[in-house]
Amino acid sequence: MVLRLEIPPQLPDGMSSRELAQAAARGISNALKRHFRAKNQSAKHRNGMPRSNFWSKVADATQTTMEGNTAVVLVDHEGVLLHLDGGTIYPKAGRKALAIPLVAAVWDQNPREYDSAREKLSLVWPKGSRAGTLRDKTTGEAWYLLVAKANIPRDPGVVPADEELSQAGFEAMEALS
Amino acid sequence: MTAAEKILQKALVASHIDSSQWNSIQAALRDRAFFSSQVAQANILQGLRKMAADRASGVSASDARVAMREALKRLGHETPQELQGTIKDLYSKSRLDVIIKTNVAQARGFIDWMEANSPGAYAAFPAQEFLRVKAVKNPRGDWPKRWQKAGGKIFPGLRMIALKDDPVWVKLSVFDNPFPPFDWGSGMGLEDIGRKEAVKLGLIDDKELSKRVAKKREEKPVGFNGKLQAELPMKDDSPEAAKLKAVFGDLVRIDNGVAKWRPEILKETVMTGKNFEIDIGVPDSRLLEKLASQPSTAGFAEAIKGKPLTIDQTWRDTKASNGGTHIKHFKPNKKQPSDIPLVEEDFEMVPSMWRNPSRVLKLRSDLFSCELDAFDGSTYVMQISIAEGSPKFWTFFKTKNPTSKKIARGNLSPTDGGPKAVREASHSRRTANIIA
Repeated sequence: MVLRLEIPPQLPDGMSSRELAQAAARGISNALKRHFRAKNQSAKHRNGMPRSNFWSKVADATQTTMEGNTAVVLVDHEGVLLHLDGGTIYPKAGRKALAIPLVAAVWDQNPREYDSAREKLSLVWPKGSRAGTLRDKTTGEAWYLLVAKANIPRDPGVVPADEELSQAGFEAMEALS
Repeated sequence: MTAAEKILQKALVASHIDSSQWNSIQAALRDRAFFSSQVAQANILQGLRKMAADRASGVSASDARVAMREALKRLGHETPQELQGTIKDLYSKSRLDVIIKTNVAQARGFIDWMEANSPGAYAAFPAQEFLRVKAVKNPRGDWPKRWQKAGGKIFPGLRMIALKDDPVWVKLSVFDNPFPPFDWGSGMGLEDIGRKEAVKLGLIDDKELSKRVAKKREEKPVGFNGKLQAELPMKDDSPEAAKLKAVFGDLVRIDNGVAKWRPEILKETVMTGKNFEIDIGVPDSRLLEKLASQPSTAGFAEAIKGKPLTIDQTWRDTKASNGGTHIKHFKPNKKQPSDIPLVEEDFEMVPSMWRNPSRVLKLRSDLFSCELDAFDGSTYVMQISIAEGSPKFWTFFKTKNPTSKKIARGNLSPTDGGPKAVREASHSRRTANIIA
């Protein structure tokens, strides 16, 4: 996800537009990071499962860069646009379903990581059902939920309002005057 | 620069040393190098670096680990039984995650630090606060003590704040970096403090701030040419130089007061298109042992022992037997579809092939080949000529179908113990004739 910011031409006080752009971009980047970190704090997570810290990682992936005199604020994290606009996640090519971990032991591992997945896990997919599970053969415990796709609803709160970001940018530029 | 680019720019440093020894090397060199404790094979390191860069680009950690384990299997890497499942096991989730998380976090921290210290950003936000930015399983409770020990001041509300260029940041970090992460698996990070608040806290006044901003305008940003030079000012007879040489041997060269990683020198020089000459060093004992172990190649071991390999531009400009020059190895070749076009990073493998290749083969009485298996299933091939007495770099390319595989399939006869007349090999330039 890329936000692009352009700053007006050089002001009479001698400050270059490049430095204004750097300051504004930094101000906006800081506002985004605070927002993502707060979102991470309030994010729900399933009982017994480790926190994914998804929004904290998004904050970490927020950076600024300069292209000439144009400041670019970049949120270099896959998935952010999906939450911003909403969308559907489908399995990658060659895979038949998304595997969603249900137990803490496998929370950030897909079934392909198990050499012995075929020996350890059995596939249970009732006919006509939209979802199946991969279950421990010994205990019957469901380790993964299998679905053909996952819908991600649009979340307008992914980023702060434009006014808030503009304000953060202007306040940073004011510090240079 | 993205985090993935930052990771891919790091020079591969394959070594038997462990993390504690690595941490004694200057931070400036460590920051430019990709290293993993006791991983001495450059081809494995190349795969680990790609894994970390892929993760930084958005590949899931799980997919990145799966790809790396497949690469390790292809390269025949085995973990001793007593170490399996431990942090010393390259196949283990814990080891791969440490490599991924540390490299991605440090790359991101570095990029943010560069931008935070640009003149405009610094003028608006000259200070930063050290605080917890993410929850971790076992948070360390001793950060305020460590902060003070590093020379930091605690402000009301137990706030740990300092100017961005305060030496406290380097002293606070176990990695000696002025940017996060400051410790392994740490949830502590930074938040900018604006000019007004920094002045109010007494950290700086407007006059001093103007001076520092002016200084930042003069400073060249790190990597301003888009590349990070893996080099550091160093005197050849200094204790630091002695330590580097003791640890890395010929992987590091100190020339004209600058310490550089050899693989980096080669990588950058070859691609300039200009004339060059680089001394790769004398052959490693492991290469000599491999050559000596086969009757067909034993003579080469004697021929090259103690003699340095020099690479210059002639190999690139030399005519190839089937047309064009060797510069064609950098482009797709319809006549050799199994060849993979070379990129800059491939030259990092050359010193490793001179130290410990996967295989050696006799091609002619005055020419032998070193093959090194790459993490992606292809093979690097370096051919060395001894026609002039000293080892001479003849050619270098990357292929999915090296000579050793052709021999294994019976397409070519091995020259070991009784050469047979077979068809001219259509693949390699100088390997064309294997004649009885």
